[in-house]
Amino acid sequence: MTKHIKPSHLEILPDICDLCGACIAVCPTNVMNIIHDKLFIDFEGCTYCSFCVDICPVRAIEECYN
Amino acid sequence: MNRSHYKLFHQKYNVIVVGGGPAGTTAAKYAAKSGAKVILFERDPVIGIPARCGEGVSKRGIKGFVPLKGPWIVNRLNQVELIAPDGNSIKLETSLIGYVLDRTKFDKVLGDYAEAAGARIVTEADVTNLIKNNGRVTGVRVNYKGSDYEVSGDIIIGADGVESRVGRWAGIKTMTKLDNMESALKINATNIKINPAACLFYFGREVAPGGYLWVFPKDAHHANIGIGISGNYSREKPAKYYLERFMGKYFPHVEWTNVVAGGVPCNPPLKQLTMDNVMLSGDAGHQVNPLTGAGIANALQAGKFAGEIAGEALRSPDPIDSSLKMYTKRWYRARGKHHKSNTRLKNAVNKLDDDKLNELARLMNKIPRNEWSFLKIFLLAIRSSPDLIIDCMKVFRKS
Ligand SMILES: Cc1cc2nc3c(=O)[nH]c(=O)nc-3n(C[C@H](O)[C@H](O)[C@H](O)COP(=O)(O)OP(=O)(O)OC[C@H]3O[C@@H](n4cnc5c(N)ncnc54)[C@H](O)[C@@H]3O)c2cc1C
Repeated sequence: MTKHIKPSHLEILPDICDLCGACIAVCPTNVMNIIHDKLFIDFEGCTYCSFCVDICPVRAIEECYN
Repeated sequence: MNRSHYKLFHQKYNVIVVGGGPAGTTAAKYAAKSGAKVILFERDPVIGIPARCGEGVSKRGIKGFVPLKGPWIVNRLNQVELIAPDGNSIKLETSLIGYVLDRTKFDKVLGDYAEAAGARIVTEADVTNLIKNNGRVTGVRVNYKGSDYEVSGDIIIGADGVESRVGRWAGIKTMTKLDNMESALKINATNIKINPAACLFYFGREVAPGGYLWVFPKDAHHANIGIGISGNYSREKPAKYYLERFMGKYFPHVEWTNVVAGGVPCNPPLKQLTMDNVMLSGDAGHQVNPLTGAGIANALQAGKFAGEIAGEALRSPDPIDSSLKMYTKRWYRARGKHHKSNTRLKNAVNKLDDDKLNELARLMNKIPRNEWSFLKIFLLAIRSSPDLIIDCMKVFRKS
């Protein structure tokens, strides 16, 4: 497996996200939530570990590097 | 503010249930039956929609919770086929393996039972946090159709599914490790030709690494097809990739609708299911069979225990928090041993590569079905494949 390089940002793709909540359960800092049928990340507490990216069955969260 | 909402939210409840899945509605029913004043909040507009589920369940799992005849049961299965990576399969037939449910109707009828027992169910009600006073949880904050309310209660039951936050808010460590989470996807196949009595399970790193792929027929032309892969593997390729590849290979002309994503928390049992006056139930309490990913039956049983014990705690002269501790004990007595041995078995099975799985299937097929027993398989495996048995020994030594 390749080493994980922390992204500078995570982007949720709302058209792909099915609101299943798998990402919420694996988030180590509990910064993910569904609010009014939309998934949110509170970036203040996010460590960019990308577990949410990894677990998503439909790849609805993208890692951005800049 | 609407007057009826004001009345609904400005009363004190004995039990507040968060989440209207099988765990939540069952907890609400049993708590209400014991005389408690119960309110259940569900985020979605309708109980049972969406159904993030393969809808397979055993008879024992639902017996006593719903009648075994009714619109919530769409098919009865009496055959099972376990398919090894090389395509060889183990076939079993009994009088009844289990049912395929209609989860939407199933969840709805469970909600009806809760209401019939006296619980109040409020949908479109998103619980956004716990309310704490001097460190003690006194209620929940809820967003109902866009407005925020505070509702107070003596006991909070978090039955908020895989995405549970109630436990974390209360201080129970419920994060699921990536390798314990099954990243899952389910589709409805609509023009398949299939034996309606047989459920199929496909295994192997090629098909579903760290999990399995299942086909649960609803009738000869419709089936739920789904996959779960371990979070260990899903960084490389997502569950969607494996499911699409499988469909292309095995059912290339089959059409499907209703793609539903999901996570199945296949954790070891939680050490503590309560924190003071907060209880967790179902997926929220990690009460899923970690080997199979089946969570419906456990959610029902956990919900029943949680509701009953909440009722007992309210009647007891002892402090509520200490009475609720009984919940963890009762759960461990009923399922603890089973849950722990299934955790070990899961870890061992996940270590088997495709060659070993093929070998295991080959060995098991040598034993006549009427002579199947663990001992028989064990002895045969020792003779033919000593290293395979070392893995199994590790599993069963401690269980
Ligand atoms: C793809 C897939 C296939 C599966 N197949 C099977 C199978 O074939 N057989 C089986 O036994 N199990 C299966 N499972 C597991 C099973 O679906 C779950 O274990 C079961 O639904 C757990 O019930 P629950 O009541 O704990 O949670 P859920 O059914 O998830 O219910 C939780 C409810 O809480 C609500 N909620 C969450 N947060 C809040 C909040 N803050 N406020 C208000 N409401 C909230 C949610 O909207 C949801 O309705 C499958 C799971 C998946 C993902």
